[in-house]
Amino acid sequence: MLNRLCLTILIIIHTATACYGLEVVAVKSSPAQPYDVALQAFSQQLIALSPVRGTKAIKPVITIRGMTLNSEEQPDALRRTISQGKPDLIVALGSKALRVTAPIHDIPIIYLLVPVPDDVVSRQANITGVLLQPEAGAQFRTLKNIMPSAKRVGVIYDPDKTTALIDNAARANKNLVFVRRPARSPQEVASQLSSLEGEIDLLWMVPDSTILSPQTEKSFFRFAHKQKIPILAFSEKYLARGASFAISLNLEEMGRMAARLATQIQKGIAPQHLPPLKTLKVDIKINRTIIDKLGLKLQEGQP
Amino acid sequence: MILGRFIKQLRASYSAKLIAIFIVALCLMATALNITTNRIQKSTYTEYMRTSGLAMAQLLAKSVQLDVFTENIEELTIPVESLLSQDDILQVEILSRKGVSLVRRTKNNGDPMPSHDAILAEIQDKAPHFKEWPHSFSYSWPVEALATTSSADALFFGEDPEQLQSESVPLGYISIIVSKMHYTKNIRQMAIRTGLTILLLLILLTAGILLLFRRMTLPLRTLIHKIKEQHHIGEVHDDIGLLDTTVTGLITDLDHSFQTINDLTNSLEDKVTERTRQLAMANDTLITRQEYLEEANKKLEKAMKDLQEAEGQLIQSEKMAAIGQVVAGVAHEINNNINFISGALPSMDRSIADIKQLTGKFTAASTNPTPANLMAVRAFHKELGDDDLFESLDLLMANIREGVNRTTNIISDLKTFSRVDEQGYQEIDLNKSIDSTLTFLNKQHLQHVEIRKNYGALPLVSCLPGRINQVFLNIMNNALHAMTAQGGSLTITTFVKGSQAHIRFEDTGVGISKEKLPKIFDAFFTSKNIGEGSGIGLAISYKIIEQHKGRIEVTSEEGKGSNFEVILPIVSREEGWHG
Repeated sequence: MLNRLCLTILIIIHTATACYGLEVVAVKSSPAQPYDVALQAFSQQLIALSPVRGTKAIKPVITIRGMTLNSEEQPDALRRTISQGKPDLIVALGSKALRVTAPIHDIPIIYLLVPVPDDVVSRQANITGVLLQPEAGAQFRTLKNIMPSAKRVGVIYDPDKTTALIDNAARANKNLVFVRRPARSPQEVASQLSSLEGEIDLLWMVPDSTILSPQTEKSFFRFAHKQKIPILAFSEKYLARGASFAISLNLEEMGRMAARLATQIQKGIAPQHLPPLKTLKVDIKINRTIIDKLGLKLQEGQP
Repeated sequence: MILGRFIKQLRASYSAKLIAIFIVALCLMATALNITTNRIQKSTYTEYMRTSGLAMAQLLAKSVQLDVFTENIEELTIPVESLLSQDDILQVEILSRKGVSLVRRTKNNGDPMPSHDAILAEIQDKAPHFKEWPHSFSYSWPVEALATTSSADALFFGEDPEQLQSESVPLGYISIIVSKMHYTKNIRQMAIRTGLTILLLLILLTAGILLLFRRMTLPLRTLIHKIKEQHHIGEVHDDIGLLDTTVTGLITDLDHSFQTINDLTNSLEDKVTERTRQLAMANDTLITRQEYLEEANKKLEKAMKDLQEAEGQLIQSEKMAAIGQVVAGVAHEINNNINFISGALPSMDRSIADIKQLTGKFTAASTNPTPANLMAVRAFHKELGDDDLFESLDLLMANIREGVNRTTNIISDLKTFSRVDEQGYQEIDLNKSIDSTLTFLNKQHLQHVEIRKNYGALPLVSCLPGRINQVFLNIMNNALHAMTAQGGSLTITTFVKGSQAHIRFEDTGVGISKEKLPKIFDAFFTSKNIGEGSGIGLAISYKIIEQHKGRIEVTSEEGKGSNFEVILPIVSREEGWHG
């Protein structure tokens, strides 16, 4: 009798498949709220996407351990801590988190909310992610629906940083004329803006750290005010400061896209075979007070 | 001349000296206050100029931050010229970080301004700065910007904490020069206002102190004035000296007085010892005298007791005399009345004997009605006479009845007269009391006296009837006694006057001399011969009437008669009094 029971147990153990499990380490660049929003969406979506085999199946074990970088912690020590834990996946939220975790080559890394990943890390086999900026053509297509009169788009940029972004936008929107003004230092921004007087219908504020600084930011809004030109900003935070339109980043959607990448990596697909994802849907938010003060008429029925 | 008088007064009067010292002290304090206040005001105003000017420079520095950063001269000129339009602002300059003037606008009001190099030195040494020049103030404020270390993440998701901790970098400087023209004018005006206020305060304080001082020194001045008057001193050159002299003299006098008091105290002690000894002796004498007096007092008490006993005996004898008189009167009256009866009795006996004889003859004639018997009866009857016998019987019976009636009346009067006072106060008719008393008057004295009654209507009067009757009897007997020799009349008048009953007895007797009149109510005083009166009748009467809260008024004229008037209060039983 005892021999039969032992034999049965051995047969069950031998024929059982491995239980679904995933251990994730999420590294945030700072305690900023957008990182929390994206991470929460990622977690929820990851649990939702985990395989379930019927109502009596054993619940999949998904562990997400959050870490937030601070200035006192040494990157090497952090990396050691992460490596010793041997997680299945690392999620790097923000440029700093990606910069710290990129030297780890034996664990897949998904980046999230990183404005320009190429500036942070060169192409690496274990790294993929979700691009922060929407597809350049999409935002202008959306804007065209709101403000059809915008034909000429002025842009001040540092050629060393944001040329590709502008090229992509120009390629995707052949019907728009992009009036480019390169500036290699913040001091040049004001004069370059002056040169755009009467030349453009819309000023495009790009995420260029050379161009945008606390000093130069004001010159954009002063120019827009004097020339009665609307500004399209890349972040909602500029709406309150004087921008007419701003791209609304869908942080939850980005978190969910990262969760889909994680699921695929867990299934065994190497990150190098998973190209970075880019959000296709673009929402534009409007500062109606500024629009009214500039005297602009928007397309009826638009938000 | 006036100054000389003032100095003279100042030297003479201590109060003038004190006032002068006060005023000088006040002036010094006011000057010090004025200087201090002016300094504080100037310091405060300068501080205000510093803070307001620096605030203006700071504001300009913030507003031109971008234009200094981009060195946009055109934009920089606008706020500079706007600021220069202010009255006091002489120069506004914006300099680059290296001290190169980007914009400078100057307004000349004639006052010299600090040199550009001096301003530059101040700015580069310690900006922001404020400096006061002889004719102007200079202010400077750095135009700064945060170090441009923004990360791409910060562009999207807000400020990077690392960036916030980064240092500011200087972009340039703001320099403003402000004229001191208005400042100096305002300082001068403030000094004038303060000075005027303090001067006004000084005047008010001086006036107040003068008034207060005059009040406070009034007693002292009065004292000095009195000293001058007492010592006949005219104007003096030194009030305090005079006071000093006077007080020194007073202290000396006081020392002398204390010495004298000490001497007197010493002699007084001897005197007190001597006087104490004398008093002890006197005390012994007094104790001896007191013992003597106590002994005398005991003797007197015994004598008084004896006297009271004698008086009691006298009163008792007076009572007995009165009773005797009454008894004599009663006996006389009863005797008179009995005379009516005894006088009628013989006739009654005779008439009854005649009737018995006639009755016998009738009985014999009826038993043996012979003509002889009948004739004998008829003859006897005729002898007696039919009517005379019975008429005389009626008359006799009438006399007896009269005697009995009179006796009854006398007994009634006696009862009225002799009412027992143990029953206490009773309401009685005084007219009836007088009538009942008349019955018991001395008949011997009444022979030649006419009694005239002139009674008025009297209400019932609450009194002790026996006592009151005793008074009436006493007064009327005295009146009759006074008229014994020559006769006369006693008029008794009663009437009510107010709330009093008046009973007046007027006789036409010998009267009472003026010498004796005041003494008639004294005990044992009598004008009667020895054995005729005790001398306490009127004294008792006076006491009785006094007991009834009444009085007896007497008027008399020697040889013409006396007038005794008893006045009694009319008091009902309810509101009666108790003697």
